[in-house]
Amino acid sequence: MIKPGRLWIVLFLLPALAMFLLVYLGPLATAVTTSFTKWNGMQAPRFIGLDNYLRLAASAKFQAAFGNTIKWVLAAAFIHVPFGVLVALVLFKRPRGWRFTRAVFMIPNVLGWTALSILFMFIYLPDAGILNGLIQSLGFSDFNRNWLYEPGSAFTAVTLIWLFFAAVITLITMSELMAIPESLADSARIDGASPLQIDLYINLPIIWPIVGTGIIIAVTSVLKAFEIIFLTTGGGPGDRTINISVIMVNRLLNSQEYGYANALAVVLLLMGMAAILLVQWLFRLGRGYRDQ
Amino acid sequence: MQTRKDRAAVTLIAALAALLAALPAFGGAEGETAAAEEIKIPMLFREGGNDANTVMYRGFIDGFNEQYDGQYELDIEWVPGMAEEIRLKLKALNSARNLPAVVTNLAPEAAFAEALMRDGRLMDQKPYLDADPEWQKVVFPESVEFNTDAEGRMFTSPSTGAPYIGIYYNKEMFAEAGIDQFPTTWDDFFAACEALQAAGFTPLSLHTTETGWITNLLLTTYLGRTQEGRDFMDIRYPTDEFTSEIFVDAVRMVERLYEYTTADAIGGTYALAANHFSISDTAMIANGPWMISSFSDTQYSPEGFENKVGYGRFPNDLMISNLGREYGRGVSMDHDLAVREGAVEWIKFLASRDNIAQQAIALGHLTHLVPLNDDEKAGLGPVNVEYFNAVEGVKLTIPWFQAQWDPINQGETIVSQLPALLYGEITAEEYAAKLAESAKEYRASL
Amino acid sequence: MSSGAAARVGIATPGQRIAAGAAALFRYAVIGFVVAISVLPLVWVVISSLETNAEILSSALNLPAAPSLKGYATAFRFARLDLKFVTSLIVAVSTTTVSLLIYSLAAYALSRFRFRLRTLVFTLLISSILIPVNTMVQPVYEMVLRLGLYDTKAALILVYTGFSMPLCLFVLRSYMMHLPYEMEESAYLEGASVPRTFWQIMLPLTQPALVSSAVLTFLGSWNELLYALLLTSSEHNRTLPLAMRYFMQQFTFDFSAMFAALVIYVVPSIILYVVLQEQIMSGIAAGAINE
Repeated sequence: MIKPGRLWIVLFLLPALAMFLLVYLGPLATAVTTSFTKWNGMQAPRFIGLDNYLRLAASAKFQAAFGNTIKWVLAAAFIHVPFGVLVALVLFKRPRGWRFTRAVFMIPNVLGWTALSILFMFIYLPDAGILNGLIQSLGFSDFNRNWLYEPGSAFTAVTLIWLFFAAVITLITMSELMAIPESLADSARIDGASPLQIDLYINLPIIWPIVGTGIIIAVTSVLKAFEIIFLTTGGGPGDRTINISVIMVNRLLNSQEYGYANALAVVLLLMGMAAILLVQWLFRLGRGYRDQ
Repeated sequence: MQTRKDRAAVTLIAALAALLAALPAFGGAEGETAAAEEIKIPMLFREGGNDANTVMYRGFIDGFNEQYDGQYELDIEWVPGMAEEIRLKLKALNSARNLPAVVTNLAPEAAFAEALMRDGRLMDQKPYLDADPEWQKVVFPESVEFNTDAEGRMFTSPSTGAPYIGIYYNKEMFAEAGIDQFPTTWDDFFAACEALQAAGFTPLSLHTTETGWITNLLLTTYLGRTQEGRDFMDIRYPTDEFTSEIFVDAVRMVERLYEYTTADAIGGTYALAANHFSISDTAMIANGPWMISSFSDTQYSPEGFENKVGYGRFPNDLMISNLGREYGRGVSMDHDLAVREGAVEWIKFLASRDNIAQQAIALGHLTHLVPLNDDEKAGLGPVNVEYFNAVEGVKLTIPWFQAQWDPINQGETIVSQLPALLYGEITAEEYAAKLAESAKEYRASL
Repeated sequence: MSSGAAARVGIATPGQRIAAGAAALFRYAVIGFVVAISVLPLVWVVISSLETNAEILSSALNLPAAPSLKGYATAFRFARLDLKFVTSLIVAVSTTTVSLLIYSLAAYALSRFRFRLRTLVFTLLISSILIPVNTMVQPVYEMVLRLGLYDTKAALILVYTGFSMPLCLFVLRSYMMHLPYEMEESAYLEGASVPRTFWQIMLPLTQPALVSSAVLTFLGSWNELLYALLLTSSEHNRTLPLAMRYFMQQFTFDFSAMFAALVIYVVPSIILYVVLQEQIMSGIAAGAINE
């Protein structure tokens, strides 16, 4: 730790703090304060205490959304992120075609969620969709599943639109791996460690903090995700694919319930905070080089 | 101890921070007044490329700017995307008290329109209508009544034409299935579906997303066969009425409709349903006159397809039309009187005889108050002729459900619960109860 | 453990060779899977863009009977993509530059400086990752209007720089946290000042994290749609995703034109991304060597 003059602390932090003030402080303050009001975004908000929170707690749709959100958070933490880290570990060994793979893995991110969702709607289509086509070509000629809308497959189909597109995790993990001095792996190899052992006992512990960071990034983006659901199932069939963000956006779009929507935003904020604190504690993210 | 480079770094950081911190001080630089000569009338318009609507309005805009050269100039922001984007932008502009002079797209946003009126955000257009006998002659009286409030103020403009919704059908398929007349009763309708299916065709284009548009057109016209059902359709924002036996009965009819449609109808989009009809996958699609131009456009349909398309009324000679009972264009109070009067001129320009006729031809916005002349009639395409003839024989109309039902049902409940109904997860009664529940939720939010 | 002993004396046992073979197989399975899920959808889009609407809706796996560029002709007819491409580039490059500069400063302070409010400041700044961008529409719009930046590229750069804050801070800080202190310490002992140490020692060491932050920031602003729509009104300030949005609605019925538009939109983006990633990497590396 360095203890520089106060001037430097202020100067180094000032631009970022100014950005925060300009872009985030207003929305954050508005969200928290108006979550205790009835407000349609136009007229003056009316204070109603905890009504919005009580109402959402009692809502069956919210309960379904909460359950789905938790499932997606777990899928992000235990499948999405590990997959991204695995790809990074594989590509870091520089097998043939690793540059190409690293570049093409970004394609879905370049496309963006809107285009990707529309694309997957076509992929999942009964009759004309490529997924049903592939299964039919394997000999199941009668197979024709409406993946996104049949109750049995809707949740899985929506999840698979994003689950394995973990290029962001791979990218940040690879940058971390590049920082590991080659000498560490070299000396381990001389000691007879297998590549797997080097990954498990040398690389992984060093990149552990970035795995934690990756989980925070993935989990918070799942908490905020709504385009994929919005553009495909709309939360259905029934409430099978609804999440908290979709309810929030619906409340803004369909009934101008800004107060209620902001109560949902606060719930998401608290869930995210809890996730961040938990991950920081589990991955000991707060500690620096010397403290480890 | 510090080098020159360090000082440069300090200066850079400080300048950056100062820049960010000082940005708010530049407030108020915005809003330079335009050149005094021509009065600019700001307006949002959906950029729709070559669709009939955009092409027609581009002509109107050029015509207006020419006619009022030196006096008014429409200042158009072309908004890419859907009508939703315009509505989103309108709401943001409204919160900043910076609405465009002409406020459009209010018909599907009744709640927003009513809030604007309540907050005094729109100008009363009634004095201008009262002062202009030519304008009075061409507006629908029902629409004037709808757009006028209890105190006699008219914050949104009345309609000069209305589209009618019926059913397009593929005449070749009907002939092959041995159906020589478009069905006029619901029994005949289902018999026609059976005959088409027996002849190897998929009878209907249907879909469940985007308010379940085509599905609900058929559901509501089925309701419209009885007086009780027509009364239901006259209710603005029905709630418990959704659980009535007539409505549940209509829901069961919808379950039956899905025996006659494509595999992708559940979860399908309007575009998918429309495409199935245009490439002769299906024999019928319920829809309005805005679809006509696509039948002769090879971008959407094969060459010569327009000659195969017939246009029928729903059973019982019923068609869907609001007859102008919807919010028209508003004039925003965020501008000077001179600009607002220019906005009124634009609204009146659209209500000129020739422009009304053009809206009837291009968009199917029909009116008995401004009949087409013989030249105009002779120039109509084959599907337009079918459409005009169908409307001639209409005996009953009901309003569109999109104008009557609440936005929660339209925006989220139908799209998520209709697939659940059709996959047997919930019953017709449960589906109706879900609609009632959402409707009540909307009522409570007001 | 006997294989480990064998390796130490430089002889590969059969078991080890099998393990190495299995490892290689696994690696290529992973690579194959990644390439398949990333490339196949795009390939399918390209094929579909050459088909007619009827072919798209009737066959899943068939190739177009007579590949047609009609979809592209239609899509190009309405595109004014050149202008939007330049605008997007200006906005994304500026956003990336400004973001890297201000967030690496902050990340350095938050990872290396010892001061009382450190945890509080960090928690405050990263709480921004939890605020859903789509609920911020009104306050952000009003802020931009107050600054007189409505319908300027500066507005987009400002807002996107704000949006990139949490990701950049997370990645840069976490990277800086476990960089060794030795070089910095010797620099300070030699009398180097704080900014000099930051600029000449710390930034070069942080290069990999700067690259990934740059890529993420660039992509984020390259793809942003909602605020691009709300904060601009004239053609020269519209960005590429708005053209995409326009295509999506304009061609909702014409699937081949829609897919063609998607190809037109995404292929330059991918090329740009590949070129830029190399640029950023070598740029930052060169900067590190020059100092």
